[in-house]
Amino acid sequence: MKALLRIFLFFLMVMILIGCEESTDPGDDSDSMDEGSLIAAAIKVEEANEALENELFSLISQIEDDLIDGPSDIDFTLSNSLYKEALGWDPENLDANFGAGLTEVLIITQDAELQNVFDEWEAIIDTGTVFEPEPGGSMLFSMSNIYPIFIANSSIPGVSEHEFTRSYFNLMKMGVADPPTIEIIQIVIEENLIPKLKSAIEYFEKVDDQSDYTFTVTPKMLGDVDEDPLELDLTEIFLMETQLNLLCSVSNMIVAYSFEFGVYDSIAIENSLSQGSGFLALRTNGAVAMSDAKTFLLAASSKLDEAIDFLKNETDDQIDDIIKISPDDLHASDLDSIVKYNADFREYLINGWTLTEDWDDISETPEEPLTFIFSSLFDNPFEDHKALLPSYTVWVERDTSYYHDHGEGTISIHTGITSETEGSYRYYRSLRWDDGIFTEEDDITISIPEFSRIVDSLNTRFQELHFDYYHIMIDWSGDIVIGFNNTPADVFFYYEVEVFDRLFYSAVVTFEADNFDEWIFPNPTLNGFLPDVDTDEEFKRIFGIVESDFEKEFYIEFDIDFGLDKRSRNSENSVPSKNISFLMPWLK
Amino acid sequence: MISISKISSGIIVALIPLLNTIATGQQLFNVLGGDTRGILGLNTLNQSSLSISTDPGLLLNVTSIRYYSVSTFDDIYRDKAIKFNTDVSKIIKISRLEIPLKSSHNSSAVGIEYSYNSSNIDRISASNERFLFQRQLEQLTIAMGQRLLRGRVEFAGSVGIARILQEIKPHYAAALSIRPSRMFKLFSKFNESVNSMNLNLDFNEESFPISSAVVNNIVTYGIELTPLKLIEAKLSYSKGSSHEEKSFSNAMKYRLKPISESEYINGDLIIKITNNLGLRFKYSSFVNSGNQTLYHYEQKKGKMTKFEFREHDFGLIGSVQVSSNSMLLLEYFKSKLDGYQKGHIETDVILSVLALQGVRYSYRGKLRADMTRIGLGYTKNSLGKISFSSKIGYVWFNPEFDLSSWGSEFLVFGVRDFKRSNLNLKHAEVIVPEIKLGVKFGITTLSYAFAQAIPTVIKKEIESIDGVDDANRPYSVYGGGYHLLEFSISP
Repeated sequence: MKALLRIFLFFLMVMILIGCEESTDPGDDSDSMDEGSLIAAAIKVEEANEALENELFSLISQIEDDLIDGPSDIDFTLSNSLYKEALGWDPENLDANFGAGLTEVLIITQDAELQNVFDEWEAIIDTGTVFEPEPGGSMLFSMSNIYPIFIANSSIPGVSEHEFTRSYFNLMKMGVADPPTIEIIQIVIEENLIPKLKSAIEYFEKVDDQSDYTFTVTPKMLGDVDEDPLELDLTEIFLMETQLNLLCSVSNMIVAYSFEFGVYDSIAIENSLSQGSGFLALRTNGAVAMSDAKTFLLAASSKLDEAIDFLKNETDDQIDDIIKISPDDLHASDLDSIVKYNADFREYLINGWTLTEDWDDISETPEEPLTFIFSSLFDNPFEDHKALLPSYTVWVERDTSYYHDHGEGTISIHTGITSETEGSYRYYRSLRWDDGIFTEEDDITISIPEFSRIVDSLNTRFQELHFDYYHIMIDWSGDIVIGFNNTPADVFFYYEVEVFDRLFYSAVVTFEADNFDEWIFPNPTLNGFLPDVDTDEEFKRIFGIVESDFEKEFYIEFDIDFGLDKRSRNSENSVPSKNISFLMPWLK
Repeated sequence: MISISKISSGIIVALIPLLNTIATGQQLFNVLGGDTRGILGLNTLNQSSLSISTDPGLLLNVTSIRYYSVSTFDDIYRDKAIKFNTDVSKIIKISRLEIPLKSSHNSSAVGIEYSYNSSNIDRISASNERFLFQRQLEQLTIAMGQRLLRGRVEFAGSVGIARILQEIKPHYAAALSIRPSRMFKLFSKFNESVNSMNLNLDFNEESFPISSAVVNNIVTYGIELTPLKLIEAKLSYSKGSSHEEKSFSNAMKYRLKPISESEYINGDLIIKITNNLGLRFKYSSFVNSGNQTLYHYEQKKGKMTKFEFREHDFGLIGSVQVSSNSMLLLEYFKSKLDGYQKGHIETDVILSVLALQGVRYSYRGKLRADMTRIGLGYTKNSLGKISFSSKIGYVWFNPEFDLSSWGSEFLVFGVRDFKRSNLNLKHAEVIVPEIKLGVKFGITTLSYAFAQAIPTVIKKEIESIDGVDDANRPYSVYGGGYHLLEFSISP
């Protein structure tokens, strides 16, 4: 979930908004509500609270009942439907609204499909090193070199802007690296997550303008009848809304762009990477999703302010509150800092930010100011990330890579010979194979059959394995007496070999430009994101892109076997290195 | 803002490996305040180290001025392992001056006692995370006893001071016994004392000291029966309660506020079958339950919502007088332990919520163990100047421990990061040889006792807490040694 947070908070920093869809107001007919409906709603809420208690208690009590390996999923649909039934009687019932919102969230937390998606997402983001463009010629694909500066001085304490940026671009990398995965993620997020989040936000918003509203979290809901009951008030509700809006914002961001790759073959890669394809371009409702992302982001920021404001003004006894100010723990000054940073964040998000830095990374040139309009990323999102690059064509080839491996070892021989004479003897052999040339040196004054057998067997085996280079050596000398003699010795070996690494597609991106002057970035303002950079020359000057950076072609590699270990080294003629166990069966 | 989440995960992290060692039982019993050596059968040759300050019967048996001093060092367990270095030890020192005031039936006596009692568990991981448990008690007590009506009524009272968490706190006790006839005696006792413990967790160069000071009240009622010359029976019932000692001048950073109740039943039956042959049956049961709340200064940060500990012990001791100055002992003991606790610790709420995480860590822990011990002992007192005792015991120990922990998924609701850990140790057998030598020079007596627990059979589960097989990891274990030095002057 940490990675998820990073993304959420990144959007809290970087995006602009339009807002959740306006919910229909379930309370429109409240004036005509009769007493019977109010009572029916109250009864349903009581039933729902009891159902929620039982559901939450069941979740925990599995732990106590037996020695289980993990609590199994609990279905919160009963309490959820009861709260909604209550809303049918009285749409303004605060407990019913809160309960419906809470159970919507709890249903999300127990959604196995979503959990799998998040796990996969987190795993990919944590290892997002797939998109590694060659130096030069891929400046915009490597935007992670630029983006961190946009969001320096994170507005939320304890959150690193570098983390945000890495997460955002890893998301893009994930899309490129594993389109099937992110396509599944998009579907699950669209179908399972966003509707529930919006629904929960709507329910909570019905409650959060009632400043005296509280919900009692009973010991049973905490899964422990010996616990103390807790008071959940608007501080917690505003914070939950912050959380949900953040989640909603990043979810919309994720579904805004297409990562559809089609069938995973060379033609699909070529088609997808070509400018004008749908890949990395806005989906049909992508612009709306980006706009929504900004809306939710600003709503999250606003709810955070409201949470802190409410917390600071609480006057009731705080002993049973979940969140409370403490002079020794959560200081009022900490809250003031969050509010201040939060305001800065909104300002940067809406009106932009000017930062003076050494953008071209050339120490001889002075630092200069550069303005970033974050809102343009949401209000005027890139139609197609690929169109930010100068014109290019793509062709794809299938390729194989190898890696160089080497190993060494010692085989101890315990053998003996029977001699009828005595004296000092030597058994020395050195066998070397170097790229097709075989040489052998020896100095043998006594025949020891087991020495010969092991050395010759090793030599035969290494030839069969097609080692590029190997060296086998035995060097024994000793005194022999009449009768039986122990003659232990060590055989040393060393080898080098090229081992199959992987099969991959290599997409060759060729710019139409033949030289630096023709290599023109068509959208230097990045849709208004860099309002002061209105020409290609200015773009290149500011970011220090010079003639030597231009390369006509660059390569992007795609593993053919998606979903499997992309670096599997146990195929074809692979040889375990530094381990002689693979020789043992054969030596016997 | 203080990272309470570190404590919560830290306590759990510290607790699991702590329990997951060969000496788990010993360490746990020490933490729970039990007498480890008593359970293992050690120290049974030495009954005189018990405090007599508030026991009128013992105090009034003083017939002459006596100075008594005892020091014990109990090196319970140490290991130098790859992951953790562990040190568990216990020290007790007692010095006492006993003065009889009269020598008739209506006698009275005064005792002055200084005692120092220290328990220590220190566990440091390779990454310098540290779990340190310390309990120290230093007391000075004055007791006075009076025997009236030719011994039909005895009473005693004591007052004293104890050094607790660098402050001085009083304690007191009173006891009364009435013997209506020679066949039975009724007795009762009340005492109030203050005890404390310090727990320190070090994680990521941050220190989390947790202290607890507790007021203990215990009331005991009992009866002694001697229906026949050959039979003695004693039955007592104690009820105790504990609550936090609040009057400390300096607020502690982290403190535990406990509330608990306990019951203790003790039965003892001695039958003299012949002049040379005796049998003794012992039974005791102990139940302790309650809860503890964790505060960070005055802010509640967690709660052990319930803990319960039950112990039942049964023993049978046979003794044979081999000669006028030597005796043979054969004993059998059976103990059963059951423990349970659950609770939660709260995290940094705002940051947790922003991190899309819940705000509390919860846990449940269950402990069950049974122990069987047999012992064979021999005591010889030659010419009243040199005494010699030896005993050998064999202990079978079968522990079970199960700890579950999880965080809340959303605010305070639901479950995430569920973890379950079992005790790696499944069965242990320990042989315990013990030897005691005493020498008397005139009015001075000096004795030394040494015992050593030697594991003979250790069975572990292959699975360890990390899912990594550490059953066969190389490590060295020391400790299990017990040293006692007694010194007394009695004219």
